[in-house]
Amino acid sequence: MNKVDQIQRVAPIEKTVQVKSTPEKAFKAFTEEIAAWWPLDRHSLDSENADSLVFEAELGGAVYQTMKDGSTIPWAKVQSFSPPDGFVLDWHIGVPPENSSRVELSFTDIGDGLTEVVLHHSEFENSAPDDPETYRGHFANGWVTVFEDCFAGHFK
Amino acid sequence: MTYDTIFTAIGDPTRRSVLEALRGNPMTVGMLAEKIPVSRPAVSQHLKVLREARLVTVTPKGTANEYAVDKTGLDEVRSWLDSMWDDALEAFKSHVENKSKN
Repeated sequence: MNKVDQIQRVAPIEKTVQVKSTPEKAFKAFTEEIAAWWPLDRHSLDSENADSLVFEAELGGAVYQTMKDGSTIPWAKVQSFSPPDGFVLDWHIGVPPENSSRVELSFTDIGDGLTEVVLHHSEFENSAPDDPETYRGHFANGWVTVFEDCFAGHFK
Repeated sequence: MTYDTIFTAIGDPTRRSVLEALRGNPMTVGMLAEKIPVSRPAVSQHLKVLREARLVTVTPKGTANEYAVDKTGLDEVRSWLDSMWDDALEAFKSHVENKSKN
């Protein structure tokens, strides 16, 4: 019954990758240089008409897809920005910004010339206000409620 | 692309209201039309889009069809995000490491 409790049961996506680089370079590559490596052909909306990807590498900056006709599709907003340690995005591709999920990246020097990059994509934690009334208003129209309803318990 | 279908489906506020209304309460078109301030034909049209995205299922109940939330489309969204990050991190790694060789 308690929606907030259900939300906390939804499993985040967690990924770790080690790269031969410094945290500084890896951080810069992930942000400023994202257009150079993001697989836009496979991972974008309306990929045939997609042109590039822009990451405004600063607090409050936007991440958005640019289209061949000059239009843009928002993906995310930079919620915290601490180079070279990490950043947090409000991820709202395909949904209203108020229903953002949270994408967190960290970059850690693990020695031997390696940097460990950890990605944590949690769907709802960041969006659930403490106040249940706010919460209801927030999610009354949100597909995330449906998402949460279906996933709670399925992905522990 | 199936994910575009899903995002298009959930990008519309009325369709999100439909999904919200169906959470835990399977309903017919008539019941939905009473609950949501749009006409019956409009509800039917939205349900069609949602069915194509596999976000709702339909079950014949007597003379009417009953609609319910379908997990399939939502499972695809999560699994899409999961594989998206696998692909993206692999591409990222190769970008960073090739660059540092130069």
